Amino acid sequence: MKAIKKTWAVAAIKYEAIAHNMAVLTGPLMTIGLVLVMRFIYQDKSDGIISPEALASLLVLGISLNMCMNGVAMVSTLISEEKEKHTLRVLMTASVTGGEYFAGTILFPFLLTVGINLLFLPITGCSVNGAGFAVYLATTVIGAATSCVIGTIIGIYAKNQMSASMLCMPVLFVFMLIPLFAGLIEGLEKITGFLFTGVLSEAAGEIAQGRVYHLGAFQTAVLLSELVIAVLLFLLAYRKNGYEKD
Amino acid sequence: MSQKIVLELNAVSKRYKTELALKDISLTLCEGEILGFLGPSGAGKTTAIKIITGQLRQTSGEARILGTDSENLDASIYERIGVVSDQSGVYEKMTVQRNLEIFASILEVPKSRVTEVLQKTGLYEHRKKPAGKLSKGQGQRLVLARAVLHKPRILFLDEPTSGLDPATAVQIHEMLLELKKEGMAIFLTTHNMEEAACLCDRVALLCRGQIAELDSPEALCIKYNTKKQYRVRLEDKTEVTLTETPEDIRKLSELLKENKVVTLHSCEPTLEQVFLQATGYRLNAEQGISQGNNQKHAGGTRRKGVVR
Repeated sequence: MKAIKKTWAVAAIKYEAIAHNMAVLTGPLMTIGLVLVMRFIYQDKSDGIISPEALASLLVLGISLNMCMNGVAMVSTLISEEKEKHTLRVLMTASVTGGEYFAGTILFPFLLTVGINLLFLPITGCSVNGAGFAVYLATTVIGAATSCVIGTIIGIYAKNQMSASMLCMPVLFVFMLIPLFAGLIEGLEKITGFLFTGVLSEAAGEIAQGRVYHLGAFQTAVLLSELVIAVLLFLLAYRKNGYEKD
Repeated sequence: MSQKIVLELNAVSKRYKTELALKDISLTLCEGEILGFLGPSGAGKTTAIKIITGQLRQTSGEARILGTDSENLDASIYERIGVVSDQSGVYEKMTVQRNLEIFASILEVPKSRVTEVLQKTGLYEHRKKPAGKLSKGQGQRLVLARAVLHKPRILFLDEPTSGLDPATAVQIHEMLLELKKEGMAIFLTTHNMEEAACLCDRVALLCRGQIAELDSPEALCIKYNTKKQYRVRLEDKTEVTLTETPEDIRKLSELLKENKVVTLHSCEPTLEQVFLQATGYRLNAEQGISQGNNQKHAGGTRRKGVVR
């Protein structure tokens, strides 16, 4: 009960940080805005009817952006902001444990990432059947969790918001751009299957085109193993540095 | 001292690779006592606080806080102690009240206590202001308010008045003395000797990680008053300094008999001078050490203190 109260208090702090930090808010607003704009452009160019292929690319664009901007970048920014403003140690010396801080920090970014992914379905006008939605939801939840854990790892190593942005760059390149350009560059298409964002994009693309998508053993392994690896790396980084190294 | 010991350090040492940050630190802190840990920047003050509060592990020795070995502390200890470091931040975009409410919920403190603390710290009228809009002094009072919200048994203060104006520093001092009256034990680190002399029941003079002296400020000043001198101001506005030689004693006696003495002061050393004698080091060289210009100290930013 105590732990839940503390986690909720941390989550409340993060909620206010998200609501008041324009740099953080830009992520979700830009992601939703971009998908909306792209949808109107596609609609305009195709006399109001978007092809399934275009719909798929729209969904892939939104998901890749969402996972990286709102999962990875938001969490790392929130942690590094606390370091910059010297409030992280204050929380830790107010009886908040590492686990409570972790859960409280990722709660809203996680919900936001999942929520935005779900919002993409009506925004893009994608119609999904029950089985398709279940796959979409499952991959989204696992992907959002992985993104948030990666964001936490970056937050541990970032000293301030600026360094968090810098550290996010290579991660964004890998997890955002590879799935985005996989359709255009043959080499990337092979790599994207090994990324959780790639699996998500593949699933979304198939679902958007009205095909039945079954999460295979390989895709499931990719999704789960990357989540496990992220958690292990986080635990390793946390054991070594805590959230803030002296 | 008959009061209950709440903090005990026994030969605590801390080594960082090649540097010895603390060496054989032993001391106790009792309920309702203010203990000053004095030393220049880099003397090991913050390291000591971090070890005691379980944020850092000592290399050797034992630190017990509220009966628990500091090596076995978990986060629950922070429900019974308060920590204010020189860099404690506030949530700038939240209001003053919200800042305290958040910590009240973390520390399971009733909301009525928030109002009480706001009133005590003089922040009640600013409660709806974003914390980022507070002056430095008000901000520091907010930090202190947050640290005492849960009525901790021990309050750790790391340079609490560093960079504050003298009026605000005095307000903070008054708050601390009030907390002491309530029975709170306060562990205070500072390099401001004036502050230590007016607040602390006992002071530990720390230099290069070692305690050079540990006693009350008065006792230390008397102990180091080796060349006893008296400054005498006479009716003709001249000032003479007399020692304890038979000749000077006779002279003083005559002056008193003739009623020529306007003022008479003993010239025991200040705490600053005691520190200099005890350690061979000087604190706050840039600030003009000896005559206790608190204003000068309080107005400035934090400075490097060690000068040979």
